[in-house]
Amino acid sequence: MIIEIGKKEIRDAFRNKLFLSILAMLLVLTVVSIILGSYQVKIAMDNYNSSISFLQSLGKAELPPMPNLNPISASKGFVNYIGMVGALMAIVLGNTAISKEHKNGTLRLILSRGVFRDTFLNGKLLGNLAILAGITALTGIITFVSLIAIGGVALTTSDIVRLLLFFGMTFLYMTFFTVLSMGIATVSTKGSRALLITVIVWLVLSFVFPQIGDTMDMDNQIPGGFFSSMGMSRDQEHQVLQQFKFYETLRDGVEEMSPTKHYERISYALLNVKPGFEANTPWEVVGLKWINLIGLLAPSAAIWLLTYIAFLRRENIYQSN
Amino acid sequence: MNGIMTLARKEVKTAFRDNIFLIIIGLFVLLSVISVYIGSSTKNAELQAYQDILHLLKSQGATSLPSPPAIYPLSVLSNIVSYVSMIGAVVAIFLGFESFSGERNNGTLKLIAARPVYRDQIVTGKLLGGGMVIGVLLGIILIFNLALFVLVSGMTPGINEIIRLLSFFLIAFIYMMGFYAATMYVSIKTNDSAFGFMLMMIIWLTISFVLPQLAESQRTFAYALNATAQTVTQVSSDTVASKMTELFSPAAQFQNIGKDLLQMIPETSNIGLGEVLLKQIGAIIEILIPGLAVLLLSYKAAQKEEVL
Repeated sequence: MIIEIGKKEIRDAFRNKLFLSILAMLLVLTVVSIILGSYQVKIAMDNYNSSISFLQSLGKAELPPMPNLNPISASKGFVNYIGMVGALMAIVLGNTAISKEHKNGTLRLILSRGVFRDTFLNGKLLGNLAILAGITALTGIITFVSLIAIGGVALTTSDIVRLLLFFGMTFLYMTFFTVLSMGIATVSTKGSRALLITVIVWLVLSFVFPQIGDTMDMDNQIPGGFFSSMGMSRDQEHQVLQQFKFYETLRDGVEEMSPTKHYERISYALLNVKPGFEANTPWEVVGLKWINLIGLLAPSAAIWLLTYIAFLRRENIYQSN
Repeated sequence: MNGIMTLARKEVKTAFRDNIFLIIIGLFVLLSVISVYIGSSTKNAELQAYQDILHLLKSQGATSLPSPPAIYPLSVLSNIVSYVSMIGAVVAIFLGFESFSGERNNGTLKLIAARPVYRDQIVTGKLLGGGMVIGVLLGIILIFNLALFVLVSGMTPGINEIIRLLSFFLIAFIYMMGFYAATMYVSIKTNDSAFGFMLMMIIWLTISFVLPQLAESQRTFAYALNATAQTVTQVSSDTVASKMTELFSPAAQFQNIGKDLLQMIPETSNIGLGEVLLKQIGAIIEILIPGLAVLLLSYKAAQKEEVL
């Protein structure tokens, strides 16, 4: 029965114009970001070479290290698009899964058959997770093919594992918003209201918290960086930041409340966009960034548990939208 | 005129009775207030960090010391640019997405149309009501910002700064009204308010996020060498492709105007308001035109609909 409900979810999703529009947008952005990313790698390489030539002509002995030009960093733009467009798509998917049954009066029909409430929820979740897994796999294939065909690069085994883990994180991130959206739609008596509330929660988690974190970042207030404008080296910067430990902890705490930030942090580490993880194996990166993995997994599990409790105990389950 | 004012007043009342809308405007006001506080605290922390840097460099025997960071008064309020660009636009969408479809679903649109009110007056009334709500909201934020700015930063804005700030809020009003007009048009054309809302959210996401992100990816980066620290910093600069991409995003244009008006760009921080507006005239027109276009389309759609 769970499988039947799951299959119905998949069929319904591909009849949903809104979902299909966002999906098309996401796929187009995936292709665009990968092409632009590959192109950026080439430009960065050219710029670096000309900078080195210039510094050498000035007689500088201390030359900047080569920027991170690994091919998998071409997916950097994709992280940002999934962070916004992927989350919105997951919200539409989760909300429609529950609200359509209320709206069409089919919830009463389904539950009057031999379907337990938990089976109903499990089927819905399974169907939607299958859709998200399919989308993640499709974007993954597009990325691999583009990197090889357009970028003309040969990926190492480590690169492939890093990319696979990154797409795993993408799946977990979208799962969070689908679960959140399903949870709010289950608790709410009105589907459209549930959608609005979910969008507000999404705005707070994906825009507001990261924005507050950015605002509190001292180094972010001046173009080019505050510490750099003061002529500080990395070591000196760390020494000064020691004086502002509480402030920095508070800033980090605000950012830690955002699943989008967790997704961004672990993805940037896996894709080598953030320096410092190049020497680690892919699994070591996951180990080092375990807090971000928990930040993606734990809220989904907690919300799903609460959704179960709310749905199983709810008296006015047939209340119309 | 009476009909228009009655409709406008009804819009205002309806907006302030909607709990979801109250939550989103509460969030908007709260964030703008917090942003001033955080902005001031960060600037104070920067000044403190500067003192620490001087102390550290002196203890290391450095003779060449960096000059203090230039802090322009309005740059303390600079985060409001991002909040209006992102959350402000969403507030306008929340305000307008049920303006017609909601009335249609409740059956009140036919009732209004049966009264001696022309269809264009309905659109004007809704627009005026939305404008009043957005105006009141921005007015509250302006007052809070100014009061907190003086209290927390300890700085007093001069007449030039106040004029710049008022100009910024006027442009923010035009920007938000553009989103409101677009949402109203979608609301006239669709019966499903949830669909209309999500459609506008996709448009908002494209304008406010996807296009600026694409423009960002088209910028070139040069490596700047700091003579004191011998450190290398990446400095981005616009390209034709990034400028062209930004042209399609009123949000990016609004942010460019906001950065100039709120003294975030040192080069334009001390020039007169006229010069700033002249520099950004293209961006201002770009914010105005889409709003006016969708407003005209709304009038046309309302006039031509068989059944509103």
